[in-house]
Amino acid sequence: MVKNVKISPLQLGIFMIAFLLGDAVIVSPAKGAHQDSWLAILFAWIASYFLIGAYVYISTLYPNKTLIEMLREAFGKIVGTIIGIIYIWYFIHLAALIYRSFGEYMVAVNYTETPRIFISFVLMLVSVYALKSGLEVMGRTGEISFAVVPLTVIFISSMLIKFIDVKRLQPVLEYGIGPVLKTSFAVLTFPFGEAIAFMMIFPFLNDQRKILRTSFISVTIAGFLLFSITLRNMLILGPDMVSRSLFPSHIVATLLPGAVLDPFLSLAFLALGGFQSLICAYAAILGITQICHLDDYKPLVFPVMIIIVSLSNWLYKDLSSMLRVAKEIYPFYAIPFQFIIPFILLLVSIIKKRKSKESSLSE
Amino acid sequence: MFKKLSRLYRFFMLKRENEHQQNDRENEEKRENISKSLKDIKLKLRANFVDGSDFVMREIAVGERSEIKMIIAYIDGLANKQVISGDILQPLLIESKSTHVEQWFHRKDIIDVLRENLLLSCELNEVRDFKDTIDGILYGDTIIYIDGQEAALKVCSKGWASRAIDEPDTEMVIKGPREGFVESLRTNTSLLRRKIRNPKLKFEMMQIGKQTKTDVCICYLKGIANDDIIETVRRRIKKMNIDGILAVGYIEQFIEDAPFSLFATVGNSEKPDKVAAKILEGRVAIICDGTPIVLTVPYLLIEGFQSSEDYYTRTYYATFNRILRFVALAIAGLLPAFYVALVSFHSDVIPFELLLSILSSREQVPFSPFIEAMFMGVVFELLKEAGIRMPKAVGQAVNIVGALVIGDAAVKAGLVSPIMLIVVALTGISTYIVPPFSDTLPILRLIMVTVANVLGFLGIFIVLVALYIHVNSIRSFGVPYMAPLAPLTGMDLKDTFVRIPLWMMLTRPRALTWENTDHTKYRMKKTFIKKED
Repeated sequence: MVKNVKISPLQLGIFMIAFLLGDAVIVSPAKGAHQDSWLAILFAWIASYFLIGAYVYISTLYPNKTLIEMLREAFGKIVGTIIGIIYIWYFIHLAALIYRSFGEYMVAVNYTETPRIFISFVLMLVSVYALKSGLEVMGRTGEISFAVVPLTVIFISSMLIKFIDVKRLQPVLEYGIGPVLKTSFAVLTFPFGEAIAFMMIFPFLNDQRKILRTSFISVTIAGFLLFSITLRNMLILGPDMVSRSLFPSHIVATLLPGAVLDPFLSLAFLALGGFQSLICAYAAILGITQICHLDDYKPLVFPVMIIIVSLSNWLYKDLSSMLRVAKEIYPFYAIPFQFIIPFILLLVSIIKKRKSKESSLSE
Repeated sequence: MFKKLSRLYRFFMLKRENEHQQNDRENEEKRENISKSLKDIKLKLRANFVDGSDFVMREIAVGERSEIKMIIAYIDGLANKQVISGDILQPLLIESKSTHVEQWFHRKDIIDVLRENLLLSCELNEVRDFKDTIDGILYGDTIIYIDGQEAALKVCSKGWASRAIDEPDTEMVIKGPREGFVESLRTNTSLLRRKIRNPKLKFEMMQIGKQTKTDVCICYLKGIANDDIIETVRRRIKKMNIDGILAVGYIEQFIEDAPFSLFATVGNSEKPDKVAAKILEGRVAIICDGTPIVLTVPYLLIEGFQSSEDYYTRTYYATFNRILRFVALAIAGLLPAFYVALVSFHSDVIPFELLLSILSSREQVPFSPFIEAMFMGVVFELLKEAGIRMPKAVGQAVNIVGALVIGDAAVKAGLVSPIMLIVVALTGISTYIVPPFSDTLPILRLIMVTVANVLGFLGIFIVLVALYIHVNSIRSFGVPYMAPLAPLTGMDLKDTFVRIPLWMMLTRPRALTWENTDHTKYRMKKTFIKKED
């Protein structure tokens, strides 16, 4: 029943773009590289083609299978299930992180007197509705509404051209290449590496041959938008201001001459984050469904979303600890989920494939 | 929650259906023959139409020596008396005597003689079931019972008073046909047939309503309309289980896909040109006797923005109007909520000078913007409702009072601020630019104002997203409700935000005919090449 759902390449692409931009737009992930953060994004963007290409390659080795099913097939039932449960935790955690960062953002920027948990809860209600409506409806919802995001970026950037000062990027590589590479690794884990959640979504694409093309196009668009946003923030604010501000994109938006538009921009960002958290939650819920061999995922939606929202409330003490974790701890926390396990999975499945080929040849 | 409710509702529907079907089967199996003796028939008719003062039964005797007795039965007011006297009584009583009918009787059956040689009426049927004759009488036909025969003749003599075709009040056009549907089904089908002269235009008749037996007609272009959609319409109409259908709205509520949705999934129109255009696009029309409104399915959200006049005016103006309607929908649905959110949450968004004037105008008003908006919204709805229901003679008085209440007096009394007045006036006007949404918008506005008061723009945004998910999740007869937009169909965008020139519209809407694309021919031929001689 779950598997009858199909989405089109366009819908998948929009999912990916929204997912990759997500909370990376508000929490600038490349702060550590100072004025070279655009270089860090650029490197991570290039590297992400290999990383996401690897994910897609694994998916093509197991056609029409989700990550959980792949793990089970590659590692056997018990080990595969255990790793699958770890991944479900990761997806839930990821969704909670997104909820937290958007809650913090809304509270810090627009709703200073509203409790954060209330905003998260309201967001959760909509997410539950979307999840219960199913992946197809989510895809259709994204289709037209995401023209808004690139338009907003272009609009804001073009309104702010007069503030741009190229000197803010200089000196290039002041601290050497080291911090840049370190930051670009952080950017690779957040947001690009998080695309591992899409290994749960790929089997729903109606044209399986187009996975690679779709994901590369969306990585290109999302990478470009992220790159241009970071570059714009740096050109307008300068390294000092960027590293001191909590949400650089918001500060940039408040510079818009003549009108105060930041409530609307917050909502546009929120839509992105909403999609990102939806994908993570969908991946987690689908994973649970498959591990428990259930027919329908809908009864799980509410409990899982409640867990996500509560978890988002427990994760950090406050906003500054959230930003510190995102910068210093998260990249290392993500290594096993985004690199090690997929790498082992890739190796195992290639070896298995060779073996089965050899055995079929010898027969 | 709605799903559970609808499941519960479906359960009861099914239960009821099963019970009724058994009853129906018992009723249907009784078939009565027409008895040979006129006396029996007379008694039976009297029994059937006891206390029916409009029922007329006339006994005549035909032949030179008045040897053949007959009964003519009809209902006064439904049957056309001129047809009865001129086409039935005159030949039977006068001409039969002068033309030596009895000579023919030797050769043929009397019914054949009547049918072939005597009666002038253009539509004649032989009926063998007594129930059919009763039905015929009730439909306005005239039945001739003949002594000694097991069959009766049904003469089509339908002719009741009906309204003349005139311009409908609800859908005014400037450039375009002025005629509108009327209450009589036959006239309506003729209006459609006159627009589409094509034998493929099918009218499928059925009778719905256990007591009223109302004529309902499904109308489509065979080969263009999707067969699945036609079948769905047929099935849903046949499944209707109701005593009476007094207006087409009854059918709408039975066949719609999302009965608990704020948005209509069945369209309606009063204009034959509009319905004909929809049929040509591959939609199915449902005509019901007694209502001058025709339903069209599938109905998509985008149709709410399309007006028949868009296609009669030139491209630029039509496109401009389209965009205007989108803006109008946004204003009508969101403006009061927007105002409430702005004043109570996001006053920093308002330009400073405007903020000053808003604050100074709100100085004497003791209420919060939310109370103000709710108050004005309710007053507006009250006036609107009164304007529809009141007799025309007192209209003037109510208008003046309404204008004063909403206008000057409320502001002077310190009940509302002038800005709120502008907001409500704009909202009210905009509602009527998008008439298909006029029953959605008042409810939507209330919800929006409430959430705007709770969460500001975030609340509006949340509800909008939820609504958007909702409209994406519903379908109308299998077609996604947001069709050309949400499963994005490139070519179908020609008729959404812009209305490209008609000669550039080469294909039919894919959303409706997606299975039929193979034998979809161009609706209009390409006429790029100029031929002016």
